[in-house]
Amino acid sequence: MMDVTATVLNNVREYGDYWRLRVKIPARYAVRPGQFAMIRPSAQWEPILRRAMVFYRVERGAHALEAEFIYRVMGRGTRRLAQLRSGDRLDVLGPLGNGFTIGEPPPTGRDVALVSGGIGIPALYLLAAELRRRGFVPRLFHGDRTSDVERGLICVDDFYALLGRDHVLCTTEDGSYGQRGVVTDLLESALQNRAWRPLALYACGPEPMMKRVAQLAHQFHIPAELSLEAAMACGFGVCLACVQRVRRDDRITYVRVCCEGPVFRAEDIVWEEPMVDRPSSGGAQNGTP
Amino acid sequence: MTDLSVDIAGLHFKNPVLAASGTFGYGLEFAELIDLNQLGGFCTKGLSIEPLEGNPPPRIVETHGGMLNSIGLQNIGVRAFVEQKLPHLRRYQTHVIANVFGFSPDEYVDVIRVLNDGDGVAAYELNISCPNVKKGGMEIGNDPNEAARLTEAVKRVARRPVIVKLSPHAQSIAEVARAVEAAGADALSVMNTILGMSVDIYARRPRLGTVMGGLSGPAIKPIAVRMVFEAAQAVSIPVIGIGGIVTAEDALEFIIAGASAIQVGTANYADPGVTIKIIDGLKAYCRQQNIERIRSLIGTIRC
Repeated sequence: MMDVTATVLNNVREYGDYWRLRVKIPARYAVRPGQFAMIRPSAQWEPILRRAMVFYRVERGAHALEAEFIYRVMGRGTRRLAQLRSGDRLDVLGPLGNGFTIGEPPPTGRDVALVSGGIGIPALYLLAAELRRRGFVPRLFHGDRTSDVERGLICVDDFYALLGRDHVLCTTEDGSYGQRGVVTDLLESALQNRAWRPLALYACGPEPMMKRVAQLAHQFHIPAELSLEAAMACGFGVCLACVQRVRRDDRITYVRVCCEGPVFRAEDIVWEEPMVDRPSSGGAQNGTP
Repeated sequence: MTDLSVDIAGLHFKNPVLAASGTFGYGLEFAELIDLNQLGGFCTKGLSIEPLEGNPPPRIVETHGGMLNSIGLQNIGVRAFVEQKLPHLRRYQTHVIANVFGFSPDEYVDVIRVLNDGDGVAAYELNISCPNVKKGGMEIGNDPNEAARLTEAVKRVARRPVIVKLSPHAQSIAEVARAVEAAGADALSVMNTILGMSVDIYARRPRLGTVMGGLSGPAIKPIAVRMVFEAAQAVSIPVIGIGGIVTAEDALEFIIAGASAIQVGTANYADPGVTIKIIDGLKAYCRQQNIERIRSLIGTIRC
């Protein structure tokens, strides 16, 4: 973990509220799939908190990292990030969090499933790349509410290039791209087809999706890892804001999403009763937009 | 060479910049990011006699100029602090101030007794002003008599200087400050967070799990400066200023208004290196203003 001043290479709107930020980080740390950074425009105190963003793609050069972050403009913080231009400075604290667990393929099979909803998709790119590198065959199930006429769905083209078109299955709630419906229904029908039985599920998305993935993992006896989001102030274990209830050593306890997470085994998570139905934000990003 | 050192409660601080309780963990979390030896000191997360789980989430909400929190004093308990954290902190040349919390005066005393045996604690800071716990905390801090009684009880057992952290909710900060001074407090920390609330207009629900929480950040700074000014006028013991400090200029406002030192809180979340930048900023100000010793600046406000 280190806090460095990075430089914006470019910061472009993909479509709708989705943006892609590419930065040069003067450090050479290794990033594990699923790890994140806390980001703010340098020395900016309004809004007061940094935003948590998962590393989307990372290239390690001789003296620096080039990293991409995908974000959704949802509030004051992300609006401020969207104003960054090439050459602007930003403070990047990272890499943070535990990241996904990746083993080696067993003799019994190589298929794994990745499941994402909305702004959850960037958390799975480095994972997909690493899984492929180790000989797994990942299949991505991705859903969003709607798509863009020209651009399709955020990040999906990158996954096509990485995994091949037939290994990326999409849904939209309005039917404008891929299958109409929600991604977990598509996942469920795929799991019911006995010909394909993934060794593991990895997911990142809005809470209703994650709960459904946890249920399906349980029902089909497949180990699952979920990358959670939570409102966090610091990102490195100090503020104790981002707690999640989990089962640990036969008891239920709070742990920090930023340090003990953001990735948890599905069966360890104790879901809070939903307070209310919120308008779908469709995004696993920082809880402080 | 500018002298940034200050003396508070019989302790010599290399500079007046401390990190505030609850925003600096147990110190060790920051060791990877900054040189702890450069700090005047830091206050630990509030320590209770037993570990506390804290409040149900959501525990923070960002607001204009700051944030609300209702962490609920989650901590590992004073014994775990003494056994697991303190040994690692001894290698640093900075003052470790143990922030102490209890649900009753007896519990404060119990925590102090455990800390008395811990090697490496410079002082105690009594949290009598946490807005996030129903009993203890704020009720004591709002009542000069209760605050004085607790201070007396703690002073009887404490083997180290006692700093009392005051609440902004007292009817008169000057009155509580005087009562606590009379009860033997060695210094005051002014102030804790201000009780606030935020509403999710779509859900029509509070944004915090506990409905209300403590407001911190730049938004509260003018209130904190005023309270430090009032407290410093009322007592002769040193006052440590806290509330919304993010820059050296902010820190200087407090010092000129009467603070002998300052604590940086919420800013540590957004910038783990902020305390070091503030120390550098104080040096630059003193050089530019031809101030040899920063202590000569304390309380020099002319009204």
